[in-house]
Amino acid sequence: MTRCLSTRGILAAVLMGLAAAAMVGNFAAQAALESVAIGQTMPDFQLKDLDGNQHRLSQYKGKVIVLDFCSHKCPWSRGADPAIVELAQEYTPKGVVFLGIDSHRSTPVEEIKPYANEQSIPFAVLKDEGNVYSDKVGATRTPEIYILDTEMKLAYQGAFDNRKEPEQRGETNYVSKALDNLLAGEPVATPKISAWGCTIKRARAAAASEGSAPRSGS
Amino acid sequence: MSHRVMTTTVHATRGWRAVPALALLISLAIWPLLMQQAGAEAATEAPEEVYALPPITVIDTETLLDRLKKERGKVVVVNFWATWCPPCVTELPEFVKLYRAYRDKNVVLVSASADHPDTLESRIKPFVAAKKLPFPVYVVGASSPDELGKALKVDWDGALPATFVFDGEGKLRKQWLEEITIADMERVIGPLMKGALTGEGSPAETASEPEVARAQD
Repeated sequence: MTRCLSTRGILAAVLMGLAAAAMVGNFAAQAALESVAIGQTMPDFQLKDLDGNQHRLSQYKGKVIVLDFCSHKCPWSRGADPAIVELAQEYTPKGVVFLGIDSHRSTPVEEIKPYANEQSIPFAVLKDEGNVYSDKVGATRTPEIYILDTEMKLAYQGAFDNRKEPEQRGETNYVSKALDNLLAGEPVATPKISAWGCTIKRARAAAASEGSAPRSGS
Repeated sequence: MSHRVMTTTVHATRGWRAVPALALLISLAIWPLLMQQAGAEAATEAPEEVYALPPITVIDTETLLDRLKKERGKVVVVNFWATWCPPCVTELPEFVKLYRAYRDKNVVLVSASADHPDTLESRIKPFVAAKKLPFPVYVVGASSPDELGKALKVDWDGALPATFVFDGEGKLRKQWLEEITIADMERVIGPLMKGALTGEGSPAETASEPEVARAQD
């Protein structure tokens, strides 16, 4: 019995050690992308919209800002777009700024433009060439929403709603909840919510594993 | 006398009546055995042509974790995909190749669908059948990706496709958040297989950090 217990003890210690090692590995993996913690000020950007107009994030300082990392090639992002458009129509009159950011490697502006027109997206969609900005703020998924308070501090990062399928609206809209909190001068109740989505296809990693294997475009 | 004959006749009749019932009982009892044997024969004769839908199981995060713990000593490849994710669908044949080539070599493929369990009958099963996926599929779409990431101790937020390789001790050795090929996986699995089989090679010495590959196309 004693022996059995001690074996278990050793096993537990080994497992804890492994868990710790895995955690270290995890931090190392995270170093690849920078990230912004909730409450931290978001870095500024200067990006062009689909018509070539420059936008700086700091020009919207003083307003609540919704950044929507999107991709018209991602079914989950595309599926959320009609609801995001409605939300923008509802909250823009309340002083909220909506901006779409496309960091996807394989979607040039010429391809995004017809889609944005067809969907009547009422806000500027910015092209983040070379995924520079999404690298800086740690956006990896589409759709991924960042909500900034009036001081450009990150107040919410994550899912749009709790949809179960790309085309099916979720019952809970996390973005409208967070916006209601912020507009009422309250902190966002749940500032980080993960969700299923598509990977942002990055330009940077492509060079590193170039020629490793044939890939089909998407 | 006549009375006795009558009785016998009645008995005999009863006996004969019982025969079909008995036959039915016997055949019911051995039916699964017969079927199993037929299945086994079919499998040995033409492994590529006979397709049977694999088990498709809806599981929660904890059960998935238990499932992975049972595979300690083996190299485990976990692939998250969804029917709605085009690059995931594109790369599924690579996992079919991996499964066929390595299932007898201590490499376990855990195929996890992020589709919602509500779509099990309407979407997931027809999809698996259409793609003729030969491996078991675990439906994890009801779990939050955050919870799954924490359970697996991986840096991941639910972006698909995502593939993780764990060594024989359950340590993360590689993760891809992009579409990959069997060649990508073989480069990682090859060195790990030796370690998993012989117990040689301390994971901390051979590779201290899992490499992270981000998306590309």
